[in-house]
Amino acid sequence: MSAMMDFLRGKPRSGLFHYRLERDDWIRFLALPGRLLPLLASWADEQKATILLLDGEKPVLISTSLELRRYHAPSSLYPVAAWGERMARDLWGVEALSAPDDAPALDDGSWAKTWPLSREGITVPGAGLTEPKGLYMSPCYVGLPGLVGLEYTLGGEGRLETVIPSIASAHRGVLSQLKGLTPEQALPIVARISAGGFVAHPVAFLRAVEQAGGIYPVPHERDTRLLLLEIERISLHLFDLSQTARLVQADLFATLCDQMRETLAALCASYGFSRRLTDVITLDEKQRERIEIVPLAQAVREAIEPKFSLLSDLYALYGERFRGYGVLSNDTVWHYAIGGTTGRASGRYIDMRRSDVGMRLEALRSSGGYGGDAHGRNLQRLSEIRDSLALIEEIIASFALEDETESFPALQEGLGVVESARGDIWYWLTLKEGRLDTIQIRDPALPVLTAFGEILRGEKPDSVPLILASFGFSPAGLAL
Amino acid sequence: MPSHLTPITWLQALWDARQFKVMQPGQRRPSSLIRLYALETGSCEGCAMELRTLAGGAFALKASGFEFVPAPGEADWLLVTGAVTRSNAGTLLAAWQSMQGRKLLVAVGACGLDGGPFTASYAVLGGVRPLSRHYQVIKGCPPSPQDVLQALGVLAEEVWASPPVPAAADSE
Repeated sequence: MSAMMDFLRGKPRSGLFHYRLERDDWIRFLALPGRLLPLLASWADEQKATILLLDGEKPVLISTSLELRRYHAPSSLYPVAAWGERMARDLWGVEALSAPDDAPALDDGSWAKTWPLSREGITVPGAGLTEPKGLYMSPCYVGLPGLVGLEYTLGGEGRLETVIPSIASAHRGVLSQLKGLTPEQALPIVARISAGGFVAHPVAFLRAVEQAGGIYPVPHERDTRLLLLEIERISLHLFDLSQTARLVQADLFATLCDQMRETLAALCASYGFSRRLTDVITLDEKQRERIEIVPLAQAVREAIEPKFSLLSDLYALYGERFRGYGVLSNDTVWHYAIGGTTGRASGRYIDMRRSDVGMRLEALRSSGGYGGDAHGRNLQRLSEIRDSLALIEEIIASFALEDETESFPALQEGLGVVESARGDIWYWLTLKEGRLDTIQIRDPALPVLTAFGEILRGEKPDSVPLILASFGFSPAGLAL
Repeated sequence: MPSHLTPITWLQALWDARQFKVMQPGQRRPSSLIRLYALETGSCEGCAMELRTLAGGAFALKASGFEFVPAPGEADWLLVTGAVTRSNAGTLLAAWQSMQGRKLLVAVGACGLDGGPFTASYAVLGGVRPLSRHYQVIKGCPPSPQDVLQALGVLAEEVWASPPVPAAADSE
């Protein structure tokens, strides 16, 4: 047992996973020597600061109350906590003491209100945008579908020395919209948090809602979601492969990826679903009963499997073009808790699907560890497409079979996780009179963003679009 | 991969790429291409991803009379995806003002039109509807690349048959 878990033993706890520490214990906890449990997220609002850690593959939440709108900064121990602290400061006006970085993360001066989620928010009619001061790559240059800009300095040979990412222009006030809604009202917004998870975000949200209510989905619904997640995984891996390939002029491979993804979308539409599976996850029992996922899943497997060997063979012709771009070491992915294909390609083999109720583990064969560069991430995506096809077959073969589950009480608090195509998505929420009282979201882009400085240091500026595309980086799920 | 597979792989992939390519029904190659610039202004990125797919090799964009350009100053039409965050309002205006000639503002998707699920707030203006009286819309959440291509074709026919947008609309 780590010193951290040892410290938590005997501390006040709600449910199975949420510890509550007094201020002094919180500070002591953040100064413990020895091996650190990986930190996935750091959140704060006007009442409490909370960190989400991973003990093996089990989540641990730890909270402390704020005093005078202040709390001791988890980033004093965990650099990955910094973005959460900066966002909390922008949204609620709460301060993380001893934080190494307190620059605004979301409020770039354009907002019409400061601390918009705080009871003490102030309207600022004449707000003006803060412009970057030094060298700047605009989102247009960075070239991703989403909005991320980079302030940077150059060192020797014109290589990047420091990099400060900006995601403020992507902020849409999602958390302010969700607070106070019922889960039914919230779901259409959750479904549009990120196109990197039209299925994954709502499923993670519903898992948290269901945990808060002390319920498991019935096996039919459970397996429907598992199949939808795998179809979405294949689609997004194809998109990320295509986008990366275009940047090295591997156009034929990119076109094949696009075609396969469009075939998949057309199948979804022809079986009565939306093309990208938007709004397929629902709380409406009648709508759920109408969903027949197995014919679609079978058709997807039959359409994609014959093309997969061509895709792999064609990739082998282009693979060398991706080598050496955006190398992430095993140490880096563990340090920042980078997950998904990016983490696994660098040897951090954590896949939250292994903890899913009803998961057919025998289909998850990909072992990861492909060298940690853009080429490795592509190989990881290809091997995960193969696994998804195998998993679809396994689930179809034993669809809706009962699985052993442990009952748990309805505590009006839930933590839901989904291993999406781009990594683990977490939702933590509390309900009050059936409405969202607290909601916090952790998107897998967070640790990658935190590691930008380390990832891009020493790279040439013109390599940035390829490197970021190879991560499948998207700020939509971050700038909430 | 065994080397003897290489020519077969290439040929098969080329054949597949040619077979699939989606064309706009009844299309003819026009005399000049309409240049498109895609501007994301804050969304789930779904519509922006669809435009990326449209720009890729699976769709006959050029054969349908369109091409994407890397800068708004080179564009005829501005395709806006996203709910237009306040942070992006200046970028949108600058992009529009840098465009020359018979330019067109096109809101792609629900967010681009009126913010979709992202309602006007301290951070969001709510699409192009509250910002301009002169715009066209491609509906969907997100619209498919094929829908976008088809809608662009219809717009091209309508726009060239109609009088130009008044110069004063530049600042609206």
